[in-house]
Amino acid sequence: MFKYAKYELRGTMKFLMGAIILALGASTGIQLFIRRETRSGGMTLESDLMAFLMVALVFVVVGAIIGGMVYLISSYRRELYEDRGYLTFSLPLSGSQLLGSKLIVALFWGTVMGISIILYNLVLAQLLIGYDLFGEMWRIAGQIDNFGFLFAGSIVTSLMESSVTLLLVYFAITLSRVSIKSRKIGSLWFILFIVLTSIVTYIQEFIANQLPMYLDLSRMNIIGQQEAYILGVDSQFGGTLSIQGVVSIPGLIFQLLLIGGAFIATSYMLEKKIDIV
Amino acid sequence: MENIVEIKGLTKRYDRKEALRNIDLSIEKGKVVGILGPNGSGKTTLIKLLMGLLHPNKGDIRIDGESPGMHTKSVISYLPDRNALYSWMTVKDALQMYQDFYQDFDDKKAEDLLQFMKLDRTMKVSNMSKGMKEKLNLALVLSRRAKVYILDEPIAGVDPVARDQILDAIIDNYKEDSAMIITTHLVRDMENIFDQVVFLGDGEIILSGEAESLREEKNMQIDDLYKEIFG
Repeated sequence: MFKYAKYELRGTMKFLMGAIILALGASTGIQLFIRRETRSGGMTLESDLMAFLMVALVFVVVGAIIGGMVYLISSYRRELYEDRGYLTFSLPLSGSQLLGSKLIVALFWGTVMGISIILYNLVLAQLLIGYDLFGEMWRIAGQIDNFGFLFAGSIVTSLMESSVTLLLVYFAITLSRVSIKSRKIGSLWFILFIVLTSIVTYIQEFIANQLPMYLDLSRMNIIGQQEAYILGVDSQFGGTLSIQGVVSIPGLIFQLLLIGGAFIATSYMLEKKIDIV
Repeated sequence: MENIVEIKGLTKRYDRKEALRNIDLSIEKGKVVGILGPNGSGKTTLIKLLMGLLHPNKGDIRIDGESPGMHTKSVISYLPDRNALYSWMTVKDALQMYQDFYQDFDDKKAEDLLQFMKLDRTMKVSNMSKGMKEKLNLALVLSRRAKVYILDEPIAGVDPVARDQILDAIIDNYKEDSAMIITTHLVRDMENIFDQVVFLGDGEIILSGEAESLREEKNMQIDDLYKEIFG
């Protein structure tokens, strides 16, 4: 599997490194503008312009990550519709090895993009504005009980959320390719993806509501609906990690099953059903 | 000799159109087999089914005793009818990929073939002409010590000089313990290579047999026989 991941990584590197550099460049420009304006007195930290620039900064970061993900998704789609599929599908690879490679590389780039752009902006803000952001974050982390568990939990749950989204995208693209041969109509994968996501979200929330059992990561114990309500957890919450550091256990199990099911179904279609025409 | 490829009752449909109809074919080790037919006769469909790039509607394929899958892909060296190498690759990357995925890849042979084809390791696939891409793909395919070689239209659309180089490379690198399947509609250029020929028309085998026996029996060259069948 890692043999193919190596080539997937190399093939996507140029575009994604470009996207990272572009995002870093844009955020540098925004931060330099903020510094100039605040020093000249033309803008205060509370002004509307500042708020606008902060939103712009967030858009740059999120835009770069979304752009990267769209590119990675289109790279998967190209395997099924373009000539490169002749090489990929003639390699001695199983469907799960191919899918696993694509998934690992997409998660890798998502992580690298997110971490590099956010860290860069934090360091730059510290250097330009002089505010000790890391010290402040460290101080806040020290005040939270079991911060280590919360931090690890948030990494695991965000990886799971990303895996679910990516696998649903891959599943929708593959299913469209198997059932609809035409490339133009094959673009309907996006509608299929939206429908699947809606169904999955509904089921996940339904299960979580029917079985209100949560894991409180800050205290590392299992809690019921009453305690979760006291902590401020939304009664409709069925996701993987709430802002209060609480995880819905049935929701988490459902996500794990979904990851396994989508992975097996997509791998099966890649190996047994896809026709490279 | 033992059969390395066995096809029984193979049928492939694209929507309602039957591209291949009830094909039976056996290929022995050590044979060079020409699959001959005009465009749209089903040659590429047959090759893609052997490679596992398409899935049959009916029938059975056995290559080295197994259905198309990971094992068969590891013993077949396949030249598609188009360039499929990733555009970001250089010649060096392509060689590395073959080395990583195929245990039977012979680096020394690849070096010799690259020299013969006058290809540089630093060349980028996206900057190559059609003929150069064809030669690079063929060099990669022939650098493997595979059990089966499948070449889909290896000389279509290349200039006469490149065509001669490609034919020489095929002849020089053919191994007697392997089978080679070549599809073409350019019969005159390739007929001397074939031990066995299969004439494919409208998804069916019209005629097949040993090339030499057919020449004697019909008292004509395979190229003339092709023109008589499809003309």
